[in-house]
Amino acid sequence: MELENDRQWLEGYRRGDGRALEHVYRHYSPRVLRVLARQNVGPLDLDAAHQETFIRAFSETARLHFDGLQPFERYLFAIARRAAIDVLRAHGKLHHEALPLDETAAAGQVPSEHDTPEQAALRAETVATVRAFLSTLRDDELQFATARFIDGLSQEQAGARVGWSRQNARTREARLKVACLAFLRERGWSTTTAAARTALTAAVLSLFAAGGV
Amino acid sequence: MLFFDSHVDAALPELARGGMSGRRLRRVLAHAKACHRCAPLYQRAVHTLRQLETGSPFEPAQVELDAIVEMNAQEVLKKAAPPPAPRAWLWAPLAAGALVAAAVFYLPRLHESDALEARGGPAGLVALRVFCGGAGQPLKELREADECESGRTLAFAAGAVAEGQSVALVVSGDAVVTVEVAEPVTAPVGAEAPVKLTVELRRRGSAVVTAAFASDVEQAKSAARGLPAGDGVSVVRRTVRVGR
Ligand SMILES: [Zn+2]
Repeated sequence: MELENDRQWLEGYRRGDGRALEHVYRHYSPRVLRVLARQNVGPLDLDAAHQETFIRAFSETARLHFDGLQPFERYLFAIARRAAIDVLRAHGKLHHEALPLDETAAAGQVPSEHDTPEQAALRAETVATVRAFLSTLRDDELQFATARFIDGLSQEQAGARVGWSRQNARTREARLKVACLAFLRERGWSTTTAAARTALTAAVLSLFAAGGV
Repeated sequence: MLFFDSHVDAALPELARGGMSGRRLRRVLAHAKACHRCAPLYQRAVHTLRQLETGSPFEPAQVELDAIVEMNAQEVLKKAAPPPAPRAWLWAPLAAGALVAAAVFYLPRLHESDALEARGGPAGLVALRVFCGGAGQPLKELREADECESGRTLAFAAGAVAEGQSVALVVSGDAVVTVEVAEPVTAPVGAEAPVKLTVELRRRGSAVVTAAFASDVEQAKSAARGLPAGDGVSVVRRTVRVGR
């Protein structure tokens, strides 16, 4: 059930009733977090952008401004996008054109062909990390991890491929995830981040454009 | 220093296994945001975990969804509750010169460090608060998206969890003449003390406030000026829109 379809809940939200707000918070938080993460809000800013979204959505102005006709989700996502921009700006992390601002981008998953150059670089780098980790595995672990993490099979399906029980697949997957992050750490990731590299590339390109090099 | 004791490394297995509590994630994030070594590690770990779980580095992992919802619940719902009696800043208009002295006495005390995370500091470790006053108007604290009008004056308050910290403040932007100040931090997070600086807003545009906290004042100054900051330096940046 969505807020706009439940008269009592909607009126509670408009009034600022504590239980209605908590219900809104719990019901819509995961979706807001997904929207924010797709909008270039990085892991270190996600909590702040999420908090700011709901503080704004629960302000009296926002509560009274919601017409109850349009889907609340759309209303909330619009607030989330503005909150994301302000949080990133305040943290000095908003590069121009870094955020897709059109309405459609928030409605569903942003397809990879719409990645910004920074997103595309990050996506490629993350996949490369996972593949590098897989290359350290052998036999059934490699088969399972490839099926699960590269081919995107369910845990059960990937387990079935190598004859693991459901329980075994669950345990082994948890262990693989821990091992993958340990691998990441041991590889020494103090090197430049993808975003920093992209920014550097852009800066160098602008120097060329200005005839400075 | 509390949060600097444990780098993010120790939290990676918990992150991968899932089921991290909101309180634990808050501490991990507080460290990652303040530690130059751990910030990129945390981001990469989360992107990689998301890739494993969801097939995309831009789809949050379950552990993030659960822990962030839990850690922000109290703060969000508390803020949404009807406000208590008007706070101390509803008093008489102040001249710019009197602002700092007045703020010493009237700065509202916030005891939950949670409340300060929204102010842009590495969660809970340091806090910077920005106030808009002067020009015959009451002093008010500026939240992230708030505006202060040209002709009015900015004032600041700072606090740090760790003792022996200095704060360097640089205020720049098209609305102000750039000013710098550095001084010891005398107050903890939650009971911030005014910084001895006021800045007049000369025209509309924006003012960028950069505060750097470090145990070494020279390190704080250079970080506030935008030079690369070393370990243990926390930088908070706020942009104030200046209207009219
Ligand atoms: Zn660290």
